Amino acid sequence: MSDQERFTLNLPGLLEVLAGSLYSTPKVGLRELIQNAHDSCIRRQVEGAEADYQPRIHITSNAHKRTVTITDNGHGLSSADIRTYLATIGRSYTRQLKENLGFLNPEQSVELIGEFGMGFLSAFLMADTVTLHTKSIEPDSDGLQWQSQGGEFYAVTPRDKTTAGTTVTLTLKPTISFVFDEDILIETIQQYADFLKVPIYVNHRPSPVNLMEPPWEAADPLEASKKYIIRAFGEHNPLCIIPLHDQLVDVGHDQIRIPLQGFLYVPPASVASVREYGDLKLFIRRMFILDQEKRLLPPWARFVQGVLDCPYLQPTASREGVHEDSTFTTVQKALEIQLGQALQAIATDDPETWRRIVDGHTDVITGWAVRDDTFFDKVADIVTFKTSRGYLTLPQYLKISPQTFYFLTRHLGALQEQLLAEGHDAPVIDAHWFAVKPFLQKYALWKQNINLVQMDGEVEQLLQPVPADPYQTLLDFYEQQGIYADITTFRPPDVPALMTYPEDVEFQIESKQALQDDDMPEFLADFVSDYLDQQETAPQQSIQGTLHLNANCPLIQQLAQDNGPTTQRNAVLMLIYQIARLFSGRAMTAATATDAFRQTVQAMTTLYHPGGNQ
Amino acid sequence: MSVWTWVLNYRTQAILEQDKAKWNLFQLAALDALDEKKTNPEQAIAMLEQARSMAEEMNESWWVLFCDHWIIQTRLHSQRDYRTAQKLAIQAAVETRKPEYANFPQRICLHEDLLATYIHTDPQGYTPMIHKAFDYMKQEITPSVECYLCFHGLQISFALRQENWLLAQQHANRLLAICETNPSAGPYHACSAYADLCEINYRLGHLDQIPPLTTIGIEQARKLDRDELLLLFNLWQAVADRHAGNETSATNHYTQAQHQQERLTGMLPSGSYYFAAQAYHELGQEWAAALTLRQQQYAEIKGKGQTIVEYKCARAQYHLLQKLGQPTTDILTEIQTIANRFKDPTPYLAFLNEN
Repeated sequence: MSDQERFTLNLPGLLEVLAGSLYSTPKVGLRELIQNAHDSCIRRQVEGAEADYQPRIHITSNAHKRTVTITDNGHGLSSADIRTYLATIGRSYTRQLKENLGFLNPEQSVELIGEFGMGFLSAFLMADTVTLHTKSIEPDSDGLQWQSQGGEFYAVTPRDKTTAGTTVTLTLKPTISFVFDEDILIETIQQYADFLKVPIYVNHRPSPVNLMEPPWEAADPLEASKKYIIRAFGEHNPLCIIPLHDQLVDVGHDQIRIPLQGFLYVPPASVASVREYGDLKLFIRRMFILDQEKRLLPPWARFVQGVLDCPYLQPTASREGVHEDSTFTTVQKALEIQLGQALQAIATDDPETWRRIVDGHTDVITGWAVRDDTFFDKVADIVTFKTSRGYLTLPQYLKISPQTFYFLTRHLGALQEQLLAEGHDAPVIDAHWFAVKPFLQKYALWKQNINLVQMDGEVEQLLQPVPADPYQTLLDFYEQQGIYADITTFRPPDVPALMTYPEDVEFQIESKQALQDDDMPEFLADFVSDYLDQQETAPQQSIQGTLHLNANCPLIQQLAQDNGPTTQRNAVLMLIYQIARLFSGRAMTAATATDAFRQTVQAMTTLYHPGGNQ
Repeated sequence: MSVWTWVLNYRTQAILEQDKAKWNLFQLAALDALDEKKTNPEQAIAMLEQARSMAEEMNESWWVLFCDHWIIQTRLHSQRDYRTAQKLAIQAAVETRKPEYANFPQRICLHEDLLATYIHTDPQGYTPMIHKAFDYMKQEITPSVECYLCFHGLQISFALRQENWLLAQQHANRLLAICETNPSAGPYHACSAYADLCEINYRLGHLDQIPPLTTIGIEQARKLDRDELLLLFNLWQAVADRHAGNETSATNHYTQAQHQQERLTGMLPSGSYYFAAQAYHELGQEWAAALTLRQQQYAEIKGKGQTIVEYKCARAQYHLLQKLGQPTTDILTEIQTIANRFKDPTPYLAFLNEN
């Protein structure tokens, strides 16, 4: 037969685990003590049955003594309570009371917060010494003082106390000095205890610092939500607010009702159009759990924020997160259904608001529509894109160019690419934001029979190669001039030629110049030379660029067939090159632009004879 | 003037002048984007690129480079994408030569970014150029600026990549001494140096010297709220515990490290993480687990420009496959491909001839 041995608990070790692994910040120590104080008040309400009882928590800080005190006028602890609950880790009176009340008084049961019987320990995250001075409301109770330094031993001594309730005094560690800043103290209290029903007073402030009532329980929930959005999120002009309500969700062969309280809202357009939200401030039974819970809202809803209180979610032991169990998944479903329905309703009934939502968050919406098919279906036809003819939806674009999307992945700066698209009587879509191209691709698949042409990088798609033979004399001329040229066809035919360059041509030119001028530190010059040496050396990748002659252009055809004097033809060819070079707007410095103009003028001078014909 | 003094001055200026555009630029580049760096690097980069465009439109050239620096940092330390980072780093470094950046406090940081990309690419092939850069920077950086600390950190990295453990140790100890005199940035850099010293001591076979380093490192990393360092110390403590036969504590620290890594949702684990985790498994003769980790690392970094790290990771896989008696042909082919990317592949190909 094996012996039954008792576990021994190493309290300092456990505290180290709590500090290092369980809790993310020592501030949770304050949260736990406030919640203990709150539960003590609720316990007095339940067990004391005093008609005129007014619960109250008072928090004070004293930087000089390095103390913070949390005082409540709740039930207080008897000597037995201290032994059974305070000094026994993992046993919580609140949990027991909650279970007892579950059947008899469910409304008060849900007001109780404590659960694991570990919260009090977290006081040692903040304090070197914790002193508790308490008196129970039970008849004949005496005042007691409990004190511990977080070791294995604690001391309980009698100490007079006139009124029932508890005062916890924390002698703070040197690293916790931030609590002495009253603003930070209040901020922390508001973060953790804003919705707790018991008023919390701080130092000498005359009114409670916590709201006590969540906005959805206010007389005017919409107005209260607006105020709360300013208080908690700092947003003054939400584009819309969506109140949450209980939601039926299909589970197996049945439906279950998920209680959802709170609201979602769409923030106004951010400074950054790519700014993502998609997070919730999460509460369970009014108890704050965490900011920025990002897993509950559907992934595409990155333009939405909100506040959720759902008693079905299960907090983790630290109560700084929730378990991702089957209930969590059901709550996710409930939120997705409700948000989807609400947005659908806004799109149908309030197109102006829907337009402002889509306009304000186009980049985020585009990005998430690419990843989520359901969401894509909702927004595909209404998202607007910047084009060379202003903002257009894709159906509007397709009215102009029924079969092809022309787009640029650089900013819409290059007139040359815009011109090429206009050659096809179509605007160019600005696709420099990384989600636009995949969105267009997805849309093209969705609608079918739509082509995509990228005007930068893949501009060759618009340049159809043609046999070089008839144009060889032109190509030979350019070769003699050290200009790399080829012959293609493209639209519009009025444009005789255009230039293309490698993507980082400007950087390459600037660097080469700086190297020549000895205009950078020697070590940097080494790295830059090495980098430039590794760049592609094919003629098409040369920083000189490639001249694409347009075989559709009558002038080019004429020049190719011209057997007349070469001087004038060559002058025209040089003009074509210089115009294309200047028009591309790429790879130009003041010196090269001057050179281009000089050669242009020279060619013009060759062609122009003042006062005469030719 | 430090970078952050400049940033805060700009913020104050925006408030005093009621300049919304300036405020927006400050908020987007210096606050919102940097908040996302560790958890959502793609988003951070998108925001920094947008801020960069704003800065260009506003002719705020210092802010353009500020954004470039943080894009590079995010690519290096969160996405481990050295290829893309190197291109941007060289462009930004060239830009810094202009007179308008003579007083830009982040100018040296951009030089350091550039060096960091080469140190992780081909430290051997670029040794003369890296030494020349160090010499230049020694002249440029005064001990009072934070770059001085980064500079010493880079020297540790370089020595580690060159497998010169004693030199790395010297640099780390020097950095610790300097950190003492810099109360603002010192603690972070000291914490980094402690993590490096854990690896160095392991390499030198001084495993008994690891626990004092992890003790101080864990405390510092917690204070600084740097999970990426905290998890390294937990890993090294797990290694030291396992070596000392304290299996319970080893498992505990290893599990904590895994949880901490999991919390860094957007940050790919570092090479140091994989090295320490492999060491942990090897001490327990858990070859398959070590191999899985190295294969995961390989999938994360392949083709992203960290040639030397890729090479070492492939070699680690080769040794683990051998331990497991599994075929090594494919990984040897990979090693050959990687070796040929070095400026001088000879020493790297020599390994193939030996095997």
